[in-house]
Amino acid sequence: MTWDWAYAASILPDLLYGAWVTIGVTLASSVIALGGGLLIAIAGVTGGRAVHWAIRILIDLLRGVPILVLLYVGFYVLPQAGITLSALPIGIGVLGVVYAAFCSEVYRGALVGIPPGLRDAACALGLSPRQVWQLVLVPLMMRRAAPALMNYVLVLFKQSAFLFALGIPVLLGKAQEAGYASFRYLEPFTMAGLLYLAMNLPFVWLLSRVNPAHGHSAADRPPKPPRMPS
Amino acid sequence: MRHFPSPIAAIGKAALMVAAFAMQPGVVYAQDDPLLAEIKRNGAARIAIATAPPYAFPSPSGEPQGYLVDVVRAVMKRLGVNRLNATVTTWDAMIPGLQARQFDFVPAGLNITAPRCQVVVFSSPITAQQDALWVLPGNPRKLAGYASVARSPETMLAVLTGSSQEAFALKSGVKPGQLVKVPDMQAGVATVVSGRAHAFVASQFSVPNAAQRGVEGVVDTGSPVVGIGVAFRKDSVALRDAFNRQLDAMRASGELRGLYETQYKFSTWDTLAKVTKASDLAEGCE
Amino acid sequence: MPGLLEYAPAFFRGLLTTAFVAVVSIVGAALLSVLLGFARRSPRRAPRLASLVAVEVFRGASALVFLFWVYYAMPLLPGMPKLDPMVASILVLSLVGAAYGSEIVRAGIDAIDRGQLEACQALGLSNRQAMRRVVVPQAMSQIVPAFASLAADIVKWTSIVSFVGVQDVLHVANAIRGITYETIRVLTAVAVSYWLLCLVTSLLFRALEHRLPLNRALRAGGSREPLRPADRDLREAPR
Repeated sequence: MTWDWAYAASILPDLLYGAWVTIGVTLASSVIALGGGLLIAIAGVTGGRAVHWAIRILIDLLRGVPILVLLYVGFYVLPQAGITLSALPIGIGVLGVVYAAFCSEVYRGALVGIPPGLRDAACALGLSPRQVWQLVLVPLMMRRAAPALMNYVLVLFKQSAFLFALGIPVLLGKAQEAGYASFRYLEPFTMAGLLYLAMNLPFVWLLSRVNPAHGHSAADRPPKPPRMPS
Repeated sequence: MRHFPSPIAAIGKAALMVAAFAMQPGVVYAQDDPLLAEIKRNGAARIAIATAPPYAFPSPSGEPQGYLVDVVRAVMKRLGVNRLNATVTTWDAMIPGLQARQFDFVPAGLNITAPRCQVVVFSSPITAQQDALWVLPGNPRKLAGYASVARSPETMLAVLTGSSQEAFALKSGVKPGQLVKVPDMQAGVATVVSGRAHAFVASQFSVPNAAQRGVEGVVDTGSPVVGIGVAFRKDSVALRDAFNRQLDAMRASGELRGLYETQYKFSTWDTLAKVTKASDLAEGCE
Repeated sequence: MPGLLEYAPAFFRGLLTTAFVAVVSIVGAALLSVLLGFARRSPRRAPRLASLVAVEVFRGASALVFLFWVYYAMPLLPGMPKLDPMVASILVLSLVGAAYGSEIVRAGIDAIDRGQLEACQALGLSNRQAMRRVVVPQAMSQIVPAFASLAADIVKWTSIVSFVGVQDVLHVANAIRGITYETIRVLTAVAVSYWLLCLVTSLLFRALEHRLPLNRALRAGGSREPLRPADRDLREAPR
């Protein structure tokens, strides 16, 4: 079977819609992950031992389970607990919450890396705890954590493909629908693959801008986890 | 590689060709269709099934069971094959797997449809059913079918992604915004039970033990009648015809009716009795 | 209709399949990572660029996207073989794993101070000898822990193989869920299974770390493990 340009052109609008959904899902879950992660990190540090350990245990549990299984759990189990949402909010929510937990680790690492002298100085200047966080710590945390956080946004973009398993029309889902309906699989999956790779490029460029040492030796840059897939 | 002198090489090549020709099933088993002969040689027919109770699904021990499996077992027994080698797979892997000769035929529960008839050949129908709306017990919204869903725009209808029901719903006037797409039967039932959708449309026999699952079925008598056939590759027409002959015999002897109506309690025997060819259900099907 | 308990043997068979796919993919990824990692550092342009392209491509989309392409689309190209679902899965998981693993290898080797290489050259060791006997053994102490993390991720990635028909634990679980409708029990069993598999993987790699000749000086922040008696004489001044 060879490439059919007419067929490829006919499915392109559907695939572009899927790409659009993919971008939307990525952005929405990133907002939840980055924002929620910050809150979890702050809570973990300020909230006392019980909160701290609860968060650590939760992260440990989430780390060992594939995101696909967590999506199924969110989809099937939440309704039984009374939370009735359609597939899209659940998909975005699960991705967002799980990666908020992972991002909180990044924030925590960045926080730990801030010299204690800075906090002391801020205190000595008479800043309230809230101001210390708002004006000093959080901006510093964000700057140090930025490369790893960008990496997680990239990860979320790739994980968005799993949402097709819940019936959400992400790019991969649209490609599969097209293939199943017409029995022609070459064009949809190839085009979807190329679209994913193309959408990935701006992220890679952004990542190399944010972290100028990308590609140099580890000794040149502050400790940062290698680009982890999940 | 050693180079043989030319005449010897030529004789050698000829000998290989004759041997290869002689080993072809068509020559050795002159009375059996080649695919059937191959199946007999393997000792078992390789089939694909999905998880679609009550039609075809795996038992705890991995053995295939269900109405379609029973029919296939009966037919294959009459044709001299006593074992089935079943692979549980996803719906969209079946026809590609069949084409790739991973399976001999597919009795998983594919409906006979015109697009599918372009790529495979079906046996004569072994089920006949219409679509049903699976709703909460008591049918609180008093839904009767696709039309009633189309008439009330706030009714959410769950459909299997990419299914014929999805296509028919849209054709019947249901808005795309009303559709809740689900990946499988159990998810569909779950959306109704959890309140995410008001109804789940699927074939009328696809939710066994519906009361236990918390739903009841309302058959849409206006929906098209579809039927399941066993899918064969286009080059396996001979086996398909042999299969059909046995099916006709089973119809005549009442064995098929016994399975359909008495054992599995499907209520549409009268319809099934009337559709005897794949072309009765879909155009363009041989 | 039977419940999850009756289907337990099938569930465990699925678990074994998942473990098998994970192990083979991890080994494959490890081997390819070394190849790609060294190619990324090659002084010659061709292997360096080729490996860079390969790494960026395979990190550019989810492994699921590649798996679907390899399983559904690739066989339709003229001349391409139709791969068995298991083979396709292991191939894709190894390649994608290697894309990430190669960065770990590269970073690990780069982390070894250039001075070590220069000292080796001064001593008259060839580049290959320097690598094999001095640089790589030290680099392993950084590579292996990072690779342990990647290995746990590969275990989780195996969940995608359920979509192409490999009878892994998730595939079996979905089938059981479709028959018994016992969603919570089935999904809990699956989640716990994966969690245990990840745990076992991490423990195995931790054991592997213990067996490596560790160089205390490279473990910034202090070594967690005591040196073996023989290494004490080679201990460098902490940085």
